[in-house]
Amino acid sequence: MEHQALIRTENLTKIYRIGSVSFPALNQVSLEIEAGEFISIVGPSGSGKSTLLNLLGALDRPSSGHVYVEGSDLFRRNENQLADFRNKKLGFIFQAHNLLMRTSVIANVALPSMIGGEPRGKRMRRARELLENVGLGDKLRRKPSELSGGEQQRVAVARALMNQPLIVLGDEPTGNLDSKTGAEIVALMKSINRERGTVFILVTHNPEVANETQRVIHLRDGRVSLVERIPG
Amino acid sequence: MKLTDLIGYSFGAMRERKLRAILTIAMVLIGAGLITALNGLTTGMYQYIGGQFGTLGANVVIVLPGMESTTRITEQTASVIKQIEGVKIAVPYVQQTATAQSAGASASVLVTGSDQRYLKDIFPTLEVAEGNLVAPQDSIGIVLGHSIAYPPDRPNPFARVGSVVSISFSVVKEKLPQTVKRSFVVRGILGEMGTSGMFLPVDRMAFMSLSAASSLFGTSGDYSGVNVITNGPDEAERVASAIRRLYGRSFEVYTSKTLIALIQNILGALSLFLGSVASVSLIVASVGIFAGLYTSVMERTREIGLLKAIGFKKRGILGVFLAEAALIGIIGGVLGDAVGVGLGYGMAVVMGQMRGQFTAEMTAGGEGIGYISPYFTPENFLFVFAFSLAVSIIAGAYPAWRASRLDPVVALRKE
Repeated sequence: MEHQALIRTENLTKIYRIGSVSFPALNQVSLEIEAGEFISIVGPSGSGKSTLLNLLGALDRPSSGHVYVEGSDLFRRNENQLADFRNKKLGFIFQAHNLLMRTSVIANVALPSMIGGEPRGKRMRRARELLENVGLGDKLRRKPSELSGGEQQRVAVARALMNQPLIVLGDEPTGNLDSKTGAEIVALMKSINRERGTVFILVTHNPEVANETQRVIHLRDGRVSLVERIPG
Repeated sequence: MKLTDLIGYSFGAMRERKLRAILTIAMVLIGAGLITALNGLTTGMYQYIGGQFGTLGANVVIVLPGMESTTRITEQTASVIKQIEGVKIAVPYVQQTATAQSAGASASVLVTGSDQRYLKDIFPTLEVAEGNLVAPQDSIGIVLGHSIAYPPDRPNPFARVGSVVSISFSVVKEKLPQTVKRSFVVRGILGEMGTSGMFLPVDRMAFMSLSAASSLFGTSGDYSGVNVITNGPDEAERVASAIRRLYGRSFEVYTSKTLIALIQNILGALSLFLGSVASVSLIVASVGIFAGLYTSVMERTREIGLLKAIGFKKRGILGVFLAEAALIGIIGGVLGDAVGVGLGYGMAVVMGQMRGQFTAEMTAGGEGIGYISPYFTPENFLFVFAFSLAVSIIAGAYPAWRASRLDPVVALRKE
């Protein structure tokens, strides 16, 4: 059987139009990402990092080109199917304002399973396990506002893993953290990647974070300028 | 997504903005409470009026002098009406308010003189509790209504069968006010009818023979009206229209049915007006819900982006915000029903006092129509609840739709 990458982008292009001016945020990007990889996307502001992440995360549709996940064309799906895809196959970690401040940590983690209508007891049990895995087993009932920034990001990691996704997408997940805490979060993600095989794709400004990943995709002006393999 | 989870989620969001939620619920509550109370009051009044006229026989037609006419009702009128097909008997009567005195106590009474053999035809539920009715030739006999003989606010009876009661009234003769006073012997006391208000206050009436009343009040052959007894309830309307054809606008002609309809029409118009005012308050509440929810959607843009990222569909987001609107409607509607009951009773007491003073003058110092209990039907509660819910959901529809349409990329970028 022919080898099939977990994720493959083909001439992925996103053009934004502001008035009569059109501006390609992403230009003919073709990439392959294998199962089990831990990847970072780097590049200066406006290089198309976030656009690429939004397309991989099925939050936006491309102007042209394709994204294949497990061999199937992502954007041939309708909006509801994309929502299902995000729910079941993806996890998201954002830079900040990730969590619902009104509910407990455990309810935040369990939220993605609520959509599928999973019984409460079952999803709470799994959320508890995940929080124990990220080292917050003693803070299940706390409100996110009572937690430190690093702890909040651990909650976000746990939530991203709730539905056992194939891929976790991180948009500057350490951007709001000091370097030590940031390194701890990266280490946490690496260990999850190792143990579960979950693919992580992180957009980052931080070279230290990028150096911790297996592969660094450099973007410049909407194109891939370099793909760098980090030894180790 | 399960409904319980959806409701739990929306409830959590409302608790985060507690004051706003409470205020919007209060708006719905006020509107719903007003409608419940007013509906209850009107239903109570309908029932009261139905009860008051329920004592009047369905086969009776009442003929009264026209409001803008000088045509008098005389013996001749009665005999003409008697000739109409379907009429069993035409009973003319003389009626006037007067003061009754007995053993130092006095009471305001509505004195009616008529042939008492037909009294039971006119008031089918009337019973003679003690003694007898007055015979047509009896010029000194009187029969007292139940609450005249046994005043509800006094421990001792006003008079007993055989007592002498004096009836007096004022009259202006040659520009000088004079008091006419005559004594009567109580022949009988009527059983309680439960009607002491303004309409047909049998319990506060005193009956004597037609000749005695005519002589007492000096009416010289003029009657206050004629009670026409027809052969059956079906004949009443037909006879009424025959009399109207005969006399045009000279006389007012009523059946128990038209009397009830007339008053309920007035009441219906009043309740429609009050109902619209109350409905407006609920519609104002819907503007509040709209504004509150719309602000929420704006404030929670980031949250909506997050929900979309983790897989909420458009209809899921729609559900979250519609559930919030529905919760406001449900809580406001249920509390409104409850508060409306209290409000209804409170308003009934206040209205009763006002109306009591007003109508007491009309019944010449009688007790008038005081407190009328509001009456709450399940339909009333259900209607108010459904109306509150509908108004809330309609008000929430646009904000919820806006929320569901937010672009997740744009929503997530918002700080």
